[in-house]
Order: sequence, then C-alpha cells, then structure tokens
Amino acid sequence: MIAILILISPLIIALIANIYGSMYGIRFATNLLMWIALAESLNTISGYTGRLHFGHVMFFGVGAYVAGLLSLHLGIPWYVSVLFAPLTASIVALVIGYPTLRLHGAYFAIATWAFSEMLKQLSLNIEFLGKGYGIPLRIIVSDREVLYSMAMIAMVAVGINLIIERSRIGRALSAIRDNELVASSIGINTSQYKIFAYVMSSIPASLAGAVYVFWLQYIYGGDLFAGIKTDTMFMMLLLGGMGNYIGPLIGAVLFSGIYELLWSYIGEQLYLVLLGIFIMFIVVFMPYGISGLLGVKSVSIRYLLLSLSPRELRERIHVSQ
Amino acid sequence: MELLVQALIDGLTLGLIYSLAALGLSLAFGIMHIINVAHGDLMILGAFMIYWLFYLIGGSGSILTLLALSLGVSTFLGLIGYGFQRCVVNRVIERAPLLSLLLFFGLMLILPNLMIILWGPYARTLIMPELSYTIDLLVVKLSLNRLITLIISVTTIIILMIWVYRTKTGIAIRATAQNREGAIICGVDIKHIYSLVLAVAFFLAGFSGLLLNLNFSFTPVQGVIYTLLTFLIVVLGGMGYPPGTIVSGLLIGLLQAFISTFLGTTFVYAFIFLILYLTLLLRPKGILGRGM
Repeated sequence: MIAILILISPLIIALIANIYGSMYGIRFATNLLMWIALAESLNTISGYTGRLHFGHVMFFGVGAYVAGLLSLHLGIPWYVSVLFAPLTASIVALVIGYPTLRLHGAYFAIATWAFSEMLKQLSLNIEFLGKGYGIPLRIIVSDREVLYSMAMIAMVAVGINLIIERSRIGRALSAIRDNELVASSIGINTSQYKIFAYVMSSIPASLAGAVYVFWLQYIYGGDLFAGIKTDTMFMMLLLGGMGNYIGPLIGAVLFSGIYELLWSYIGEQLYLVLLGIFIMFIVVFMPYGISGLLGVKSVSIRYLLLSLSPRELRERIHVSQ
Repeated sequence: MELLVQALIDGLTLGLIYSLAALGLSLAFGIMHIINVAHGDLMILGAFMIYWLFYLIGGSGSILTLLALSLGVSTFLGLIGYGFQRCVVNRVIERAPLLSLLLFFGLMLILPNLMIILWGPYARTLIMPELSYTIDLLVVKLSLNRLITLIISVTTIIILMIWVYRTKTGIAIRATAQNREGAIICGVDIKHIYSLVLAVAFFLAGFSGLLLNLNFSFTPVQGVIYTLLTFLIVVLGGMGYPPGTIVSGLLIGLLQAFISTFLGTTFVYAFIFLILYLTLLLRPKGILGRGM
C-alpha cells in the first residue's frame, strides 16, 4: 500500500501543482520532480550497489545533449527525441561501466568524476556542442507538458528502485555492496548485476536531462555537466537515507523545500556554505538519514563506505583469522 | 629551438608547482587513505589569502614580504588542518576510511562559496613590478617569477623529503602507513600523526597558493580543476608513494606545456582528465608501479 502511494506520489505532486499552483508553483513542482528522479536514479547505483558515483551528472548531460541536438538538427518532435536520450545514455553506461565498475571505492569515485569533467571540458570547447556560450533551442514546450513529463520520469525512477528492491536483483546487489568477494563465491555474477544497476541508473537521469533541456530552451554544457548537480543528488541521498526507494524521495522533497525557502533570503553562496557544514554534520552524527530515523530499513553510509579495495579486504580477512 | 627550450622551462615550472601541490594529497592518501577532494580549493584559498594580505599591508613590498606572508598563511591553514583532523575526521576514519571522502566533499562545497562571499567571484592576478625582470640565458629569457618558483618549490620538496625519510617523526609517519596496529604497539600516537599529516597536507596546499600567485591568475571556482590535476598526478605516480608523485608531477607539467605550446590550449584539460580516467583503469598502481 505504502509502496503504491510512494510510486504515484510524483503524479499527485504534479496534479496538485497543476490544479492549485500558480506559474511559480508549477515551476517549483517541476524542479522538485526532476530532483526526485535524479536522486532516485543515483540511489540505484550508489545506494544498492555501494559504488560512489561522483560523475552521475554525465548521464543527465548526455541525455540533454542527445535530445536537444536531435530536435534542433533533424526537426524531430521533442517528445520523440526525449526517448533517444535513455537509449544513448544506456550505451554510454554500458561502454564506460564495463571497465570502470571493476574499480573499488575511491578509485571508482575519482574515475567517474574525471570522466564527467572530461565531457564537460569537451562540451565547453567544441563548436558543435555550444562551446562556452550555448545553443538556443526555440522549440516551444508548455510548462504543463514539462511538469507531467517530469512526473512520469520520477515515477519511472521510483518504479525501477521499487522493482529492484523487491526482487532477486536487489538482494544480489545488496550482497555485492556488503561483500563482493562472498557474493561472487555464492554464485552471483557480480559484474553483470553491477552493469545492470549502472544502466538502470542512467535511464531516469538521462530522461530528466532531456526534458530539462526543453524546459530551459538552452543547451549549455557548463550547466548540464555542472558538478554541483551531482553534489546536490548526494546531499539528497545522504539526507533521506540510501539503499531504499523512500529515502531519496524524502531527501529530494526536504532538500528542494529548504532550498526554496532559504536561497532567496540568504543568497546562493551562503546557502551552499551552510549545506557543506550540514553534510559534515550528517556524516558524523546521522549516518542513516531521515528514513533511518523513521525506521525504514536503510543502509548506513558508514557501512556502505566500508566497500573496501581487494587489498584492504585481504588484510581484514587476515586480521580476523 | 627557442620555443622548445621555453616550453621545457614552462613545463618544469608547472611540473614543480603541481608536484608540490600533489605531495600534500599523496601524503594524506598514503598514510590515512583520505581522499581530500577539497585540495584544489585549499590551494586557491591559500592563494586568495596571500593576495588579500599582500594588498592589505599596502600592496608593495619585496619578495621576502610575500614569502613571509605565505608562510604565515600556510601555517594558519596547517593549524586548521590539524584541528579538522583531530576534531572531525578522526571521529569517522576509524570506522570507515572512505567516509572521510564525504567530509572533504562538504569542505569542497564550503570553500569556493566562502571565497566568493569574502572576495567576490573575479579573477585575481598579483602585480609586482620586480617579478617581470628577465634574465638572459643563452637562448631564452627566464623571468624572475619562474626562477623564484623553481627555487621555492625545489627547496620545499627537498625539506619535505628529508622530513619524511630522515627524521624520527617521518619514521613514525611511514610506520603508521605500513602497519597501523604495529605503530600503536610501538608507542606511536597515531591520532597525533594523522593530524600532523593533514596539517602538512593543508600547509602544502596553502604554500602552493604562493606559486599560483607568482605565475597565474586565479578565480574562486577554479579549485575543481586543480583538485583533479593533483589527483591525476598522485594516481599516475602511484598512490601513497611521494617520489612517484614528484616524477609524475614533472611529467604532467611538461606534457601540458608542450601541448599548450605546440597544439593549442583548447583540449588540454579534456585530455588530462582522459589520462586520469585511463590511468585508473589500466595502471591503478601508477606508471612506476610502486603505488598501493
């Protein structure tokens, strides 16, 4: 029952915004739904599999670029070109995921971060991709269409996490997160499951990016690949709790709400400073996030980050013997 | 020929700056397995504080004044690093070394925005007439700021290496890195050692702010690029192996200088990030194969 309620909550948010909301309300709801989709999609790879994916914004950017450029150059309607975004992003996820997912802990985090920064540098330096000043789109999409598209994408994201969590796949992924060595020794094909989670996490992120670019009417790599987007997703995940489908949603709602209330009073910069202090506070004192406080089964980030490198693992085993 | 030698000198200077900056990161990783993702932001913070103090005392002074100022700033940052490790990082590092990543991630959000609040988002360049003197060598002109950079960075690196490899504290530090429990048994106060290492890492980041001041202009949001650059150098040289860091720092400096001189600056950073990615995939122990 709760699962169904959570699953359709993005649609409820969209409906409420549509019926009661002003222009501002609709924009706020769209933004909120986008962040729900992004936080949930990051949860698919970082929450269940335990890999800190510091380059998650690259899927967002790739999706945005693919959809935007297809519509701009080939004249495809926007709702069709949006569908090409997850296709491309999953191919990207497959290609880079296969070698990268072998890396552990910090190595994976830095590698994916470097890759996403590389894409950003490319987009800022290639003429075809906008080169530092961006490409205007001039494809009119109404705010309500964007709102409902985002609601659908958020539902896809929550749905993916729900299915993963309730099925064999989720249990396999948790086993990999908790101890990859043991997981592979009991017959779980670890690399296949990790790739699956990676591709699944790329789909909602790229869809959100694709719709975002039609909402914004502008393709600009500096914004689409901005590292601050990944930071925000992680913040939502930490705040809400990782490794379950409810946590990221709670995190995204709380975070967007607080952001909206605060930033107009204290300014963007001071807000981000407070955010940094806040994240340190969560890491030290509240490792299970809000969903942990509510009693939902959640993964402590402390526990999650125990995903050790093979060498450390060997040392651990050695010590315990 | 002239261009080649000029690129060589540029590359060496750049490489030494990078090595000095990356050594802090390398030490913190090698000894505590801490991934300091705010390292580049700390460099920029150091640069900004030095710049700000220099103009606060009148904006004119000799190079020695500048050096004294930057030593003060770096020591201040070092003290902050000691406190940060002692009060915050040590609380979580015992349970999971990687958790510290998220702490520094918070720091990475705080520092650039704090700098924008305090000093504005504009690019800064230190202007000092004495620095633009040039010395004629056989084929090239060596400007004074390059010469000072070379002297300062080489001296600092030598002092640091002596400290790590020849003093009693250095032995304790390396012992902690090799075997934590063993070090505790031998009476090493590892909480103190950890804090000391992060203090030195912060000190080095702040001190390379002086070299940034001498050679480049800088903006508050540039930290990410320096963070990734120093990461590349540490990874390429082998994580937790300081001599490798120096070698790969020089290598990357030379590479960047040659690419900029002969191929143009457009894709330098994209290329550098690609190397970082590929190194992590193909040679995670570093080019010398001595890392962890």
